[in-house]
Amino acid sequence: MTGNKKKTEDVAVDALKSGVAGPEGIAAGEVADILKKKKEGAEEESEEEAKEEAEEEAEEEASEEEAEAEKMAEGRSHKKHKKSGFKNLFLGGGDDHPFFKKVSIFDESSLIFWIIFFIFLFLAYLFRDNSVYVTAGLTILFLLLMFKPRFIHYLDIQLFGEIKKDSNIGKIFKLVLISLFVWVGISTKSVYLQAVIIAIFVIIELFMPMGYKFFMYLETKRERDRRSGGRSGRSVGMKFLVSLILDALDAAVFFWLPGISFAIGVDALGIILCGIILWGPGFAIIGIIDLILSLFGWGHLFPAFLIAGLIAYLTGSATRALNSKEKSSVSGFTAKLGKILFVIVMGVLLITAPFAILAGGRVQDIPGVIMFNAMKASEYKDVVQVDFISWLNESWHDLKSWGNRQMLIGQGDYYTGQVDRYSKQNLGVFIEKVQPYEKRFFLHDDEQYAIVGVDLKGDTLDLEDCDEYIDYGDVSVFSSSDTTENVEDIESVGRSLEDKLRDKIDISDMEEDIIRAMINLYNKEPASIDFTKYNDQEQDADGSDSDSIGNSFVPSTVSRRLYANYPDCMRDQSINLSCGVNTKKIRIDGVIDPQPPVLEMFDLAGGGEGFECSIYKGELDEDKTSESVNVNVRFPFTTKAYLKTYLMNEYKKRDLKRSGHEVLKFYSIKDLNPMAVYTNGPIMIGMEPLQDLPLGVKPENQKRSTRLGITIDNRWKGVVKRINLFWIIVPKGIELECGSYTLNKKVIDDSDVYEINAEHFKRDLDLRGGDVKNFYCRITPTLEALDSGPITTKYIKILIKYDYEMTKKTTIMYKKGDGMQTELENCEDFCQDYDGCFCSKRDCEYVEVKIERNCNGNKRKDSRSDKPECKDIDECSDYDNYECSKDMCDYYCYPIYINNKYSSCAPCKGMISRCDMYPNSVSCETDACGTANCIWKDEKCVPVSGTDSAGGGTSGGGIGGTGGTGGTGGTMTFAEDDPAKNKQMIRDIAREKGIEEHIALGIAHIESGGTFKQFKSDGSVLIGRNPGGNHDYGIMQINRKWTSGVFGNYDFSRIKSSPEYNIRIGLTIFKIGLDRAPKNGKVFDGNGKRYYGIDYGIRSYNGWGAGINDDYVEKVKSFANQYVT
Amino acid sequence: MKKIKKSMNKNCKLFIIVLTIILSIIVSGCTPIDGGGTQFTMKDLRKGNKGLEIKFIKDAPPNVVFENDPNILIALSVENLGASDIKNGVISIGVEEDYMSINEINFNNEDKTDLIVFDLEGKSIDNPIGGYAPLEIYTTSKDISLSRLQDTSARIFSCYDYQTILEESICLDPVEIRKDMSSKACVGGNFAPGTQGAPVNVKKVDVLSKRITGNKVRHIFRIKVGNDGRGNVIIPGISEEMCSNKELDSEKRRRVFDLVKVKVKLGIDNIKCRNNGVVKLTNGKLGETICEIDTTQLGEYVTSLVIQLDYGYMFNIARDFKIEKIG
Repeated sequence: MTGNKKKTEDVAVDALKSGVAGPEGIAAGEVADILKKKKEGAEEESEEEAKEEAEEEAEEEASEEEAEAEKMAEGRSHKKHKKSGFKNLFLGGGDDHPFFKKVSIFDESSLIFWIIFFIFLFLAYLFRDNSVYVTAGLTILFLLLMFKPRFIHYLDIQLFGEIKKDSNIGKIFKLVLISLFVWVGISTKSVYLQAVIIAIFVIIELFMPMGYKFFMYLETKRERDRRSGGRSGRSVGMKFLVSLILDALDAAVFFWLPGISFAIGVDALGIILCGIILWGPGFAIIGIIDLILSLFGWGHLFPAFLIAGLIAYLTGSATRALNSKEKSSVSGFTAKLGKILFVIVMGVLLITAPFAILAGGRVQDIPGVIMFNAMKASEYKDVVQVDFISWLNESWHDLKSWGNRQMLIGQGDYYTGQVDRYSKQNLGVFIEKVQPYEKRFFLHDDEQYAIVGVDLKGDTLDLEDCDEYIDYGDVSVFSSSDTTENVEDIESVGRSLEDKLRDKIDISDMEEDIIRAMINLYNKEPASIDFTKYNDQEQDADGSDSDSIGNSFVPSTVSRRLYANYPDCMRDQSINLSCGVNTKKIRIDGVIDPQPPVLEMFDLAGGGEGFECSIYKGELDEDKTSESVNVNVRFPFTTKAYLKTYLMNEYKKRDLKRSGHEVLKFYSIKDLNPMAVYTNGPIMIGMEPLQDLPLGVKPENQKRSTRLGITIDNRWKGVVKRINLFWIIVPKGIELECGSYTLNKKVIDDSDVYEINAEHFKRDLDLRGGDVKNFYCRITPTLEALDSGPITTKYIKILIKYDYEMTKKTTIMYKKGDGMQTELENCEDFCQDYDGCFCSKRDCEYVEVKIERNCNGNKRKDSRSDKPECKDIDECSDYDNYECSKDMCDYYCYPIYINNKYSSCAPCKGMISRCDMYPNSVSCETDACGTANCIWKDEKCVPVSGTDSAGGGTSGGGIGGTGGTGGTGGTMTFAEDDPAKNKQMIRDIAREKGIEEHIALGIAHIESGGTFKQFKSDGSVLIGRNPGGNHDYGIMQINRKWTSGVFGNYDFSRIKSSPEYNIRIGLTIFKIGLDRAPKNGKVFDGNGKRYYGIDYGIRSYNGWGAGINDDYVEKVKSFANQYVT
Repeated sequence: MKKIKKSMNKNCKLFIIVLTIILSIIVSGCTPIDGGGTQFTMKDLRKGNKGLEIKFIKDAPPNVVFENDPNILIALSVENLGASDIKNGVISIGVEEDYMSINEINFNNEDKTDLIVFDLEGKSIDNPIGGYAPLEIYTTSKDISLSRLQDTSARIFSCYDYQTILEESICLDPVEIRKDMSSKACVGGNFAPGTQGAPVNVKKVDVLSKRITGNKVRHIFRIKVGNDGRGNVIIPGISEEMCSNKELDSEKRRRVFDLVKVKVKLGIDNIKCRNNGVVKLTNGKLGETICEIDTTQLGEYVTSLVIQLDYGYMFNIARDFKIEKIG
């Protein structure tokens, strides 16, 4: 800082001595006045500024007196720098510093700069997915931070305005600012984001002074020209040039010193050097603090400290007020505007230039790339709000978690552990990459879905291939004739067996007696295999049945089964996938490929696996151009931990202590402070007993207990969604209590296993990233826990099985249209293509026009966009004159909106499933959200069951624009809802669709509860409520979600009102599922069975979610048998 | 080629000659004790600072064993390298029961429980190398908790009562009685006896003889005792309690560690020592006591001094190894 100032002064003095002042000159008396003023030590003016002024206004009066004055001013400045202690250290100035002055946050220039700053901040967040490019650019910028800008005061004025003394608001404002940066640093833990923030400062710091210099040069030149009547001042130009050269030299030296430190990996030295260069001891302290923090593993806080220091540095650099010329130069409207534009341009340039260059572009193409990126950035506007809110929420949560963690650490209640050094390093599931398959999707092209590809990687401690557990017992592979008695050629039976089992077994290497035994076993006949001949091959020379690898002994039990059966295995090894778009009001669920959306951990291990998320384009809001897609990966995970403890007789322990021995050392135990060891993964399990080791054990009648603190720390950014199992395993002879937690004790091997009732965690445990949860248990060792020796080593173990969910976002860009323009043959034809049209006729005014315009540039008069949007309930029904709201969650308009593409309002966040949510008769009677059977009565929307006029609710005919709804003339009333007729209808429609009639009847039997009726006795449609809160309707119990999308688009009101339509759609859906049955079938999680063909279709009809109706297929088939004719 | 063969033959002959010479030297050195050669005395055998020595045999257990291996052998050698017999010594075995279990213990070819009570003779004229007994512990490794490998250890605790005996001929020479050195029968003084074939040894004996009355001479012995072994000194008679999880009797509890009972005999007279001869070793290492006796013999004379230390001794050794997951 001082060195730099010195250089500036030198330049000024040189300039002064060499007479490079304004040609006009100022009287010697004026110079003397200025110097006198400097001597008096006017505190608000620095020596540098005084010199500038003197240089500007003095001409040939550079005398010894000036030099003296400069020395005095310099000396005073140093004194001032020394005296102000903390303020000086961190804020660089005394009470007159802008920090302590009143600031108006509404000041025009300050406010605009802050807005720009926050825009940059947020842009940095938005561009996070491109961090590869940006980080590279920003790393360079970070190193450029070593530059020492000369005109920081300018920035200070811009940031904080021209401010008055002693303002508390100013102090608070700046403290909030510093806190904000620290918060950003802590909450994101993203070096990238923090680097972006630094870069913003670099942009301002590095380029503002240069711009300012140039501006000052122009201003001074203009002023001189004004005074001199038009003569130019070359000397000012020279000074400008010299100062730029000095800056460059300055930068060259300071760039390399810390740069090399960072390059060779000695970051701490680099940080300290940066500190010294930038801000002398004050900043170096920050570097040292960071160094110390990094020793404790908190190195990620470095950028936060750096930024806080930087802010302090920036605000501390201006310790004087500007002179009148500077004031006028920075406060004029055009000056402000120019500077703002300058900052914006430089900001955009620096953010986008790395993209351009690293993406293979050329420097000369940067303007084009900037334009492209600027256009692209505007398309992100739709996701900005949602992302910003979620970012704020996450940050707030992170800050709270951090605070909570610090409290626990401060209170000594944070029990830590260390990762098992022998365990695999990357346990868990990692979302490697989420990327849309196309840069931009077109809503109206042939592809129905916007597809996002996701790469996963993962590994788990107990990896198992669940397919090994599949029970093929149900597969009919043998015919009754396949017995040993009537089979002459056993090999041919084997071949037929192989064919039947397809790829599941290979008999080519099987001995005949094994195949024979298999057949016998299948037929429940005695079977025997002479194993001796097989054992001979494997036995060692000594006759043991062990294998040997080198000289190591390998017992024969090398393979084992971790799980009892397939469902057990899948519970621990399957990864559930989901994705969707979360808009402000709704969530659009994506379709996952593979189906069911489950992967096995086994598939991921070793190389990773990918899946696709397809967002149905029809559900995307056409008025937007981008959406944020969330990909959620939920996987079961097990974290195990143990804590080594030592136990000994309490009295013996005391004897040793009393005699001055350290107990553990007395027994030559090396591990004096055993720390909990846990397997790598999302959570850390820490444990620590309150009592010093070894734990004392007293006889039965004088038990001694100690507290065992357990910490569960969610170290990843995901969420622990559910605890499936929580075991605390203690050796026999140690009793355990965990406060209010209910413990179920069982004995496994030689240990007591205490299972904490999972019900507790529904209430208590909801661990988001960074959250910490503590448990306190009481352990009471008894004599039984001691082994025969004087000191006993025992392990307390914890096993937690939980579901963990990781989320990653990406942004999809989309546009209306199909990406191809339509040709307009006549100039008067209006373009109806969202992509616009091109005009083929030469005599048209335009070559290319947008939608709703013709080639002469005229706009279609009856365009819907000309209509005002309805604001009032009554206007909503006047579609000719008003544009209805396209908001699907606007219950006034949604039900009748002509272009309604959503099949249900169910995705609307906060939707209440009640009739009274409909505000008008139209929305009520249409019941478009499918919440219930509603009717408009007495100016209220009420459930049908609550009225006397049963059955009249869903007529709704004639509602313009709702397509099929108006044409439901065949709607059957409940009086005509005859089971016999319905059964016949089912047979007819099944035959028509090529479905086995009895199966169709079996399904209808189950679905309608055996009634075969569409309506209940009160006339309302038969409704079945699902656990998720949605409903199924009518005989075939059709869920609203199946009435659009992959199964087609159907009229939901008819599904509710017409049994025939209900049956038809139900069987259509069944047929679609049936046709999709894969050759190898599919395993159902609910019972571990693999369903093929018709069974697959039945299972699909009920859904593949386990836990409810797991035996649906079997039930349907059982009832279906009744209807076989 | 022939030359090379010749030279090889020559080298071979030379090697055989040298080997024969070395072997004959070795063989001639192995003269039987009771044969015509050197005769050992107990003093010769009371050397060194070792008592009971227990060592793990190499690769038993190996550095890495597999989980669920039912045949892991932990083998140790148990030797009494001191000059005192061990009666009712105790060895206890501690394995981490979470990961290992003991199937069988075999001590000196006898089946034992995990608390072994044993006798083992020390060095003597009849057995100058001391008693030896192999200890074999057959164990099974269990499932390991977390990942691929699990650190575990086997720890052996040993407690025994032991005795150190120092026999020296010393010259008692009252300082007041001035005589011409040449006419003295012997010259008295302090002496450092070296080690006595036990973990606790008499380190130094300071002797001061002075006339206290006309015909009485008082001999004062400052006996310094030190623990040279790598274990801890305990009082005798509590081996079983100290090497097991049993607790001590309440009256013994306060005086357990670092106490050595010193008994001194001058000629045929027992000497009285301070604190009844009980020495407290400071920091478990060094301690001293003062013993005194009055005699009527005024001149210098040579007599025998026998110092006997009684104590208990305990130490433990451990072997760390790893259990590897299989499957």
